[in-house]
Amino acid sequence: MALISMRDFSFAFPGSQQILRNVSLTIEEGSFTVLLGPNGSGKTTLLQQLHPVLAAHGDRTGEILWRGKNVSRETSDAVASRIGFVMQRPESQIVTDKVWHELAFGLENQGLGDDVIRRKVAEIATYFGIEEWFDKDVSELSGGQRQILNLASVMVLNPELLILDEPTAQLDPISADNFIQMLHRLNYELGVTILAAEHEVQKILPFASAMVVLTGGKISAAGAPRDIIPDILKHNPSLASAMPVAAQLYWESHSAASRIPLTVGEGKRWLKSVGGDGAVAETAAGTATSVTQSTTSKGEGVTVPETPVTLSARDVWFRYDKNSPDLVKGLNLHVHEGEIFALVGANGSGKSTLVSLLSGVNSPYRGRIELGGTRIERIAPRELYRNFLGVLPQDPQTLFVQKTVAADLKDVAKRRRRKDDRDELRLQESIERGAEALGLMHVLERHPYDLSGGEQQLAALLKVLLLRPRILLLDEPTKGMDEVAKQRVIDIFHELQRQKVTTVFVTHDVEFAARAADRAGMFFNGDVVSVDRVHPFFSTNNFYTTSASRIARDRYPDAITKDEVIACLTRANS
Amino acid sequence: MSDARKFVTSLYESAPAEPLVETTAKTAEEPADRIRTELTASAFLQTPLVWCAPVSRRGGRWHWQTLAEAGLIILLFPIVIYGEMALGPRNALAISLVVIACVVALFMFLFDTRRPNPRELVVIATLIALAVAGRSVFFMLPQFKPVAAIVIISGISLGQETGFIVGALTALVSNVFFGQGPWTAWQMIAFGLVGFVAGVLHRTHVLPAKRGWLCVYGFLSIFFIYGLIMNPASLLMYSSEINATTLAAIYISGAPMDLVHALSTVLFLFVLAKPFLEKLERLKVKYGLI
Amino acid sequence: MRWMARSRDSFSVAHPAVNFAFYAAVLGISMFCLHPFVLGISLVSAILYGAFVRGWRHMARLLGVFIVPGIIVVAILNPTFNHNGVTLLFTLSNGNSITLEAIVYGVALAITLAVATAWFVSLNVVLTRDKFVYAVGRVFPTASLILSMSFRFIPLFLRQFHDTTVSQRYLGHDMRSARWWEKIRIALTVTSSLFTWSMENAIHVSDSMRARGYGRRHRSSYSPHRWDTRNVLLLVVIASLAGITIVATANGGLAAQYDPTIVISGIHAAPSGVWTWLGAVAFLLLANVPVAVRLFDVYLWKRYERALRLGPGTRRQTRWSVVLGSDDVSAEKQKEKVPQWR
Repeated sequence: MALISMRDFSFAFPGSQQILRNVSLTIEEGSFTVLLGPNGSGKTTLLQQLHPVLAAHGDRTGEILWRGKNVSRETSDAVASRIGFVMQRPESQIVTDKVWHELAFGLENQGLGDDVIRRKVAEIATYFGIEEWFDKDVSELSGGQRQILNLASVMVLNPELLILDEPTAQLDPISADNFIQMLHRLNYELGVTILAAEHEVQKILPFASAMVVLTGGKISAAGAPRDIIPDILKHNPSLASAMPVAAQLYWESHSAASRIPLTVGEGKRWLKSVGGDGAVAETAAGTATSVTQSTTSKGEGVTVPETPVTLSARDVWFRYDKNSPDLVKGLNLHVHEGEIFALVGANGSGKSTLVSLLSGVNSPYRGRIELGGTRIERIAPRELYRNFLGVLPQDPQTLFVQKTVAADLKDVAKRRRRKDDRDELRLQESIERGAEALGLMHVLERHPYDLSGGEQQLAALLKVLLLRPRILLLDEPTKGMDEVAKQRVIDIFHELQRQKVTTVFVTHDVEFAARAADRAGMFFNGDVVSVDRVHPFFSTNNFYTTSASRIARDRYPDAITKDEVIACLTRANS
Repeated sequence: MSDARKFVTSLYESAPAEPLVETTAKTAEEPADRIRTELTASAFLQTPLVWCAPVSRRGGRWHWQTLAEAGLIILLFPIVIYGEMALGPRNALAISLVVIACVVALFMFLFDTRRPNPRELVVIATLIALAVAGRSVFFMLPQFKPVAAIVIISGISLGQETGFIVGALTALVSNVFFGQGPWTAWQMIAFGLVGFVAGVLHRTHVLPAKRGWLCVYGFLSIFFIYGLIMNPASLLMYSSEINATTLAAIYISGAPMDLVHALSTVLFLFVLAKPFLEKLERLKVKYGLI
Repeated sequence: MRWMARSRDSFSVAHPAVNFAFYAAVLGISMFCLHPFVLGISLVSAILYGAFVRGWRHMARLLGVFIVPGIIVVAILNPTFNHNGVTLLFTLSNGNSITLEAIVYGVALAITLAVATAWFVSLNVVLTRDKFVYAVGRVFPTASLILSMSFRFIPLFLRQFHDTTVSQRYLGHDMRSARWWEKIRIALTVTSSLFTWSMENAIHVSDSMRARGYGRRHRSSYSPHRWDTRNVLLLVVIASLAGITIVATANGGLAAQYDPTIVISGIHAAPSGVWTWLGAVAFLLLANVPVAVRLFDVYLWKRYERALRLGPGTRRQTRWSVVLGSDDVSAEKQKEKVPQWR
């Protein structure tokens, strides 16, 4: 039975063009629907329109039905109380200062008594595993815990439909995994109907029973994932790269198997089923050459770091207070000029500490950090951040201080080091080219806070690049980005490499690290361990590695990105 | 040529790698809270910026409730002062505490029964938090705090009742962090009235929402509202004699601190009034606050 | 586990209503009853309990730096304004007389101030912010929600302020090296961007409130605190002890007059007898309720340990420094910290 549905629904904000066009959509009761679409396709607007209280005012046509009945002014409150809504930013949904109070907030709004609230809060805290941090202040929680709290404080109201707007976009992968598992449990154990917008579908798709694709305000495909994924792979190249790696491999190799694999496990079984055992040894030998070819095609002369070391940390120790534990313990790291270096594995305080040390915000109490052969403390701040070290901080919003993106980008010119460098015309040209290259032309006149998470990241990256850094340090650069945007960032990295710009980024996105970087290192327990070129790095890792490597490592041990596996597969087929 | 290549090439072609200029390690070991000192020392003390631009003015009208509140408050002061004169300081202490409790309770009750919409609530909480956070940034400097400035801005922009609520709750919240004391009650009513009077004066077109005027009001309100409540309050606590001499003495002895407070309020208003009022105004239009 | 149970302040984990009732009673009585017995008992008890929750060192510092000098200053100042009193000590050159009564009255008032200061030391530890949220919430739910929200926003804004300052430095807007007009510009930019951000945040938060049904019905105010036997008992004890003290005062048992003559019940011939001693004992007990609760819990725990015979460790003597609280155990855990913006 349909729980909620849209019929011929169109929507436009007053005085602007249509955001949703003739959307017809049905959410079955008990289903787990994933809403997929590139940045700016109208996902957020669509989800908000389904919630009678959150629906923005504007020109709406068509109708929304709840259990087959039109949602009218009289019934909208009743319908709203049956729908739970979780938004993208975990920070901005929390109302009160204590975890227990946040859980009780919605129940207080219903005017319930202390005893009822106590029982319901206890129940929900137990179900979501909140007990350990139940008495804490909200400000002490990690991002992942905050989002779980948001989910729990919505679920405590016992909604029938749970709508989530990119709930994992701001989370690190481990917290994101936990969160998605939690959604699966809600759907599987309690039968809660779930509608979640996501663009990182790898993890969520295996649990989904239905999938809706929104492009340019229109629904371009809807149905069970296995039915429509082949369609997407065939007709929608911009979304194709967002599909599960297993499905892409299946599609690209024109496999004859009937069932399309979605998970790593399914992908492994499928790969085993298509090739005989005899083929393994033969193709593995061929893989080495194919891999070398694909890496050298990234850029010239970069695979061997023979250039001078440009960023180095030697035996660095750091802690915040005299009595707090060491967060960085004897860190050693050497990055060469023109290299693209990925640091993976760091989470929470370790990561932000690392970035603050490498960017000169904090100083180690022992050891030295050198940029371009000079100790970072000895470089005057005016010199350091102007045209030399560019840093993209974790929260891109903190970089924006002007009313429009364009104004913010122009602002940069004033901070360039040399006077003759602040030429208006050339800057304008750079901004336009940059906006073009990063696909930001359409957002230049908007307020920075009105951009989606991925667009904010891109705009922040552009702002940092306009300072023309020689060394680029990025903290989780791909957070909230769709596949198209990620590819743009990789292109930029490779072009920067041609200009001998050194790029160091800290990330959890292993797929991105494998595609973008030359070398990678794992940050663990205060030190960078196991530094290696990306291919040996990821192909020897058993747990912390890419999906493509997990699927295909038995057959093509050196292939780590899906493009490389596809290349190997086509070679084997021909 | 790809877009990315065009962009990066255009970005770097004109700029050869520049050599780094090494400096002495002057800035090497300064602690992280240096920023705090820098902010305080330079940004707000050396502010000779001269630019005056009008901030949009809001039309207003008298309302019976406002009249009643103002009348009540105006009536209360003679009662307290009479109590002090006639009944001795101990009874006056009791009377003024009861009066404060009544006034604060009245405003909270009015606020509660009005059932403000969630947006207004969050904006009020945001203003309170900004005031307290601002105070904690300037924690080291006594009496140098942005509380009064933000309370005045709230009173002007969101009306006198909200101004009172922001003032009273800011005093309570900030004392949770900086220490409650016998002064909490008086601070609540003092900051509350600073916001209330600002709102009333603005609504009656006496006080235009222009930076210069706000600075003048900020200066006067610290001496003649905040100081006029806080100084006698401390007298009530530890003097056996309330008369013109003791009042004058306590007022004069408190004047240097009040002056710092008043000047800091003027500085904060000078810097914050325009952007804050403009943004609140836009928010009010965009989301139909109030 | 052992030290936690010992150093935990049992009174501050009691129901907020009990905490508020205690401070209202003790502060109220000490403010309005200037009888030397009451003042003395109150000051000693306040310092004792303050030492339990903040440590002896803190209280000693407070006593030496603030309370004792304060008493002396006020004792000197009061006679210069107050010339009432019958016992003339000497006359100043300007014709004003200094009387014994005025000096004694001054000392009494100064001790009142000291008493208040000393009680507020423990009050600031015991009455945490969620207790204010509770207390206001019982009467004014909306104002209480505002309190709770602003407690949530303060650390959030301080972090955002810090992050924005650092980000501006990354962009070459560096406070450390900029000239002073640049610094003003940077400070303004950061403050203004924080304001925009906080207002943007406000809209999201209010959306989240409405999505969770705020304003649809009359709101209740949940309290996680429960009225168990101990809390009820404590409230009854506090109320009855305060009642006895007040009745004793009303009957003249704790009357004190300093002006124009000193008349103190129990010492002078004025109405005295059983009410004076009843009132004083009741107030002594009242002022020491928190300490008694705390020590009683220590006793319970020791008895429990002995009964369990948990191994050789249990034989150890209770270290009284731990029981009494030192500067780093209970105080740091319980006191609201000044928010830091790192």
